[in-house]
Amino acid sequence: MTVLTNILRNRQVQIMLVVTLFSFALIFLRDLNPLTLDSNLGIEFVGGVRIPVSLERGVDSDTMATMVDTIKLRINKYGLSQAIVRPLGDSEITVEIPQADSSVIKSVEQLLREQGRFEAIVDGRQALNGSDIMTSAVGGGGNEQVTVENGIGKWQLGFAASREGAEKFARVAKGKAYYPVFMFLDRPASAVIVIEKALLNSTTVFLNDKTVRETLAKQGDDIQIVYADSTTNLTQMLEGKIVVVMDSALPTKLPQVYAQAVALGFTPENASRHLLLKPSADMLPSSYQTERGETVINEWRALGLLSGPTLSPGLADGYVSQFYQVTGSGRGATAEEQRVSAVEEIKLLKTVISGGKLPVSTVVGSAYSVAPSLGKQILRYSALGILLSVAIVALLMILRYRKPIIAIPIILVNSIEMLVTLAVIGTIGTVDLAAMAGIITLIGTGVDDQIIITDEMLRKKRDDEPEQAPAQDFRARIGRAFEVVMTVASVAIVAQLPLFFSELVEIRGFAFSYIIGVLVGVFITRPAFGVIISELLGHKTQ
Amino acid sequence: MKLPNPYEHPNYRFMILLPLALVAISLFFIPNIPKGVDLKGGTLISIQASGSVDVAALKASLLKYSDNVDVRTVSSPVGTGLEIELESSPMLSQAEEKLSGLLSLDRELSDAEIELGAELAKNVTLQAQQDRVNALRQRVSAEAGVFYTIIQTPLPAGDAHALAKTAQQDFADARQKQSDDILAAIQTLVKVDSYSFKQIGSSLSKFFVTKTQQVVLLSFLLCAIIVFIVFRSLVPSIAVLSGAISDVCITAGAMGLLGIPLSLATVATLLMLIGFSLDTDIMLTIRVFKRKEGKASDRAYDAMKTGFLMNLTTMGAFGALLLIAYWLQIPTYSEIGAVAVIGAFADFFATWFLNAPVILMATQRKDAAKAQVQ
Repeated sequence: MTVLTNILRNRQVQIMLVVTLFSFALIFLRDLNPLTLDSNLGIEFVGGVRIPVSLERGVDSDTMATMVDTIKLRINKYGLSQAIVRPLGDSEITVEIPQADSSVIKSVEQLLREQGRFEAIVDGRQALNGSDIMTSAVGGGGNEQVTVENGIGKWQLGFAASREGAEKFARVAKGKAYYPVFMFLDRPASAVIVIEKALLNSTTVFLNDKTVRETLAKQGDDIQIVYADSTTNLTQMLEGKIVVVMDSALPTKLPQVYAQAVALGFTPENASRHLLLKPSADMLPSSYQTERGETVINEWRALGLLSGPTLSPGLADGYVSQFYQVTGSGRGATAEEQRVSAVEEIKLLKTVISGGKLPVSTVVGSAYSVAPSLGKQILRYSALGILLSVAIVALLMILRYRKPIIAIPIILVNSIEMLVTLAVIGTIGTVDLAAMAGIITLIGTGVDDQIIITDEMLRKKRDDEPEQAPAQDFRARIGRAFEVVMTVASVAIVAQLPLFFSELVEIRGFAFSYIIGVLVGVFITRPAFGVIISELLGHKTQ
Repeated sequence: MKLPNPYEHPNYRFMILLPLALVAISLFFIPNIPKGVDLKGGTLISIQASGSVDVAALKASLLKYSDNVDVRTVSSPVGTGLEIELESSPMLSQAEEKLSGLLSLDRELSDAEIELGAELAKNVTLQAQQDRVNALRQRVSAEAGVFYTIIQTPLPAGDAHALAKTAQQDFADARQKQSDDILAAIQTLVKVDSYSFKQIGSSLSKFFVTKTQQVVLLSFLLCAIIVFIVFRSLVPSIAVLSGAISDVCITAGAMGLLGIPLSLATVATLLMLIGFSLDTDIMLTIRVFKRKEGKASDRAYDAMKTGFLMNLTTMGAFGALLLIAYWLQIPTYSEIGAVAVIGAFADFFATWFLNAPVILMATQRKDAAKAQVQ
């Protein structure tokens, strides 16, 4: 009994136990439901689709970032907000959509092939649309600038329109100086937005009904707005409409209102009566104060409104110009924050004005898809593989040391190591097939360190070694074992670092989980193991 | 288990001949390592099938789509697994190259048009610019003509921009159609339960090859640096590194002999193997070279007992993974498992037949020199 109390009193053992509990919590309790696995799992395990997108040529990192952002923005439109878009080398992008089946492949192909619809609306009339824009002349070179003057970050973006477009703009904008220019990407046609009264009132700035309606106006195609509460009757409002936009939380918050829309045939799958469910954050408009003190809504993502600069007087005199400048200031408290926000703003606006057109043409490769049922199976088999590996290692330990009292802690500590690694990867990264292989590798290599420590503890003293006091003897043995363990660990980590920092995303997870596992071993489990095994073998650690 | 201490034998230094011979044989097999689809480009179709499969007929029916077709079957209690590898179809890779040229020409044309538009807006007309636009338009149309000849489709009507756009679409369709055709051809001969389709284009596979080369080289370099820092002495560092290098060499040779492909997964495993094989080498070298107690050959023998168990556990753990993956046909796991098991086995020879005698000789020479001084 005293052995056990000694072990539990040890600081290193306590740290290991706390970390273990914490890892269990990360794996199972993140959503407060202990029955579900809460780690982020790759598509191999939850099912999903991975679509490789090849670029027509290699691009620099800036262009690559623009491509990735544009694809993300457009993918959200299809309601695939869980998609992971990442670059692979300089001429390929992978789009990964977890928990999806192969039907989304068509959507992704479509969105990469088609352009979005850009519209600039001034005072309820369309001033420019996507086909008026010369998409290769949006920003770039001297046409985009971010400046920080007197601590204020400002941005400027220039673009060109066709002759006909420019004439239309001049007509519409005449006499409309300081009016907002609402820039939409994929503004829904013939649409109704159903928004909870309570939600709209929660914005910090009070938006009066007039401001809202001006934002939604377009000749012949105003977006209707319904402020819904439990007594709302939608039937008349939806007559002849094609799209209904509502909060994805509405079906639970106001089920009777949602039921009315469904009863009229509006569903997410139906194209002629299309129900668009948007996250609550996208349902809220955001606004700013112009220099003249007016409130202008400049962002309403659920409706595709992404920017709302005001019209400079120089463009409102009816003169036809093919070149336009949009300017604004960045948001944020410090100059640096404003600069960063200005850069983001320009990127977004470029995407909007060019209709979400990608700067480089793409070809969609053939997708790799895993059915969710198959994914679950692979996850089960991986767990089975781990169990079998642990069992074989346990058997070898018992055969070699002939004492369960040595074999049990080795296996236990090794399992803790894997558990902690799984928790870390599943929280800050994604457990994919490669990461799982890395975790399995820890069984083989993690046990090795434990063997080195155990053998050092079991070693009989040679004749020429001095007799030492028990506590000193323990420290000397631990020191010798750790000299080897630490060297081995640093080599193992260094060997994986190049892979970890490489762009080989498919197998980077292996290096990531292996490195984390080794670190967990060196700093948490090995020190604890040293104490446990010494106490069990009758060494005095104190 | 009572094993005599081999390092007590007067002629123990001849032990190094065995691993050196193995490395020499391996060098002969290394060029035979097949490259996986990741590093070679092409199409890999993994299929779970039920019922029997006529491999020869399947191969014959697929030769229509590629010059080089490889079909592998694995039978297990859960069904038949098929791996079909097709070299990239020459028609499609040619078309892909043409298409990318076509698209960049089209972009050049757009830029020229905008410049022309800007000049028109300033009410200046430049004949040269107009000529350039016209020439570019013609070139785009001509290139589109070549592209459509390659994919054996009649040239559609339309101006330069429209042609570039439809070419892109038609290429995607042609590729999709080929994938569909291949799958349909397979399905007439095999009862497919589930499948996965992996296609790696030539530019991506080139990228993978250069990246993996860089990663492996860099890993070795960094490990060598760490080893030199730890031992601060030439002979033990070289002994340790030669253990690791010969382990990776022998493993690679075995991959060539057994036809295990070099893929992203096996490259990751080889990296792990560098670290793993250094484990035993470092343990041995620290104990023999840095420690002082008793006889050096006894310390080496003790280290060997620890090291044997280390290698056995690694082989056991990965052997289990290999068995499960082989049974359930998860190729990533089975390739990793196979390479790791072979590597742990080769490490026996690399560490205890090569590294150990070398470091023992060095230690004994050092001790003898010290004894003389005293």
